[in-house]
Amino acid sequence: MLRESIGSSCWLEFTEPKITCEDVVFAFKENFPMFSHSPLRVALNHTFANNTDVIENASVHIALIPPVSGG
Amino acid sequence: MKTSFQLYPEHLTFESPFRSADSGAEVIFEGIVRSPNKGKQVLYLEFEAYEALFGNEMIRIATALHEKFDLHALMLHHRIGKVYPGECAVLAAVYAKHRDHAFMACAELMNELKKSAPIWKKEFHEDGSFWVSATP
Repeated sequence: MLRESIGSSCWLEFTEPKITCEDVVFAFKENFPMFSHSPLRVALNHTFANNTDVIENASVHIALIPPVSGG
Repeated sequence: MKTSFQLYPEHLTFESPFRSADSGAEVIFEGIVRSPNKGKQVLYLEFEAYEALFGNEMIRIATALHEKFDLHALMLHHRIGKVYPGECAVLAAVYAKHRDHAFMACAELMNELKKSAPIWKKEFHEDGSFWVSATP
């Protein structure tokens, strides 16, 4: 769904050594304002994370999850 | 508890790998693609999924349901790709000792799936298509 608009991956640059999932969502929405009103969740290494979870390791797989509609 | 979670690119048919004499209740739910939807004829739905997250999220949902309803087995198979009206898009089956737990668990399984399973559908009509946004 996001892939259709921006491709399968994107680069976001952070200067802070530690960031939270919320920071990732904020930075993504700044770079892609068309999603500024879209509720997005974050998954780290293929598991849903909380907004306040800290990302310290650069090798973590980060995915942004738009509203789901299965079933 | 035995589980089976799968994303299928082809036609879904129900087979019961978990039926046993221990489980007095087997509740099966099949979700069918509906047309018309909101007054418009649906040509087909196209489903996409994030497979690795789907597996982990289904384990989380199944574990919570097992703790609540003491289930014997749980199955959730979902189609991906194009699915046409009248075809099965999702198949859920729940096994428990008694029917009350099985009915409740199956309903809750579908509610949880719709809330958080990383699957998306795009609805196609004669005059265009749109992503269905159900649950934030």
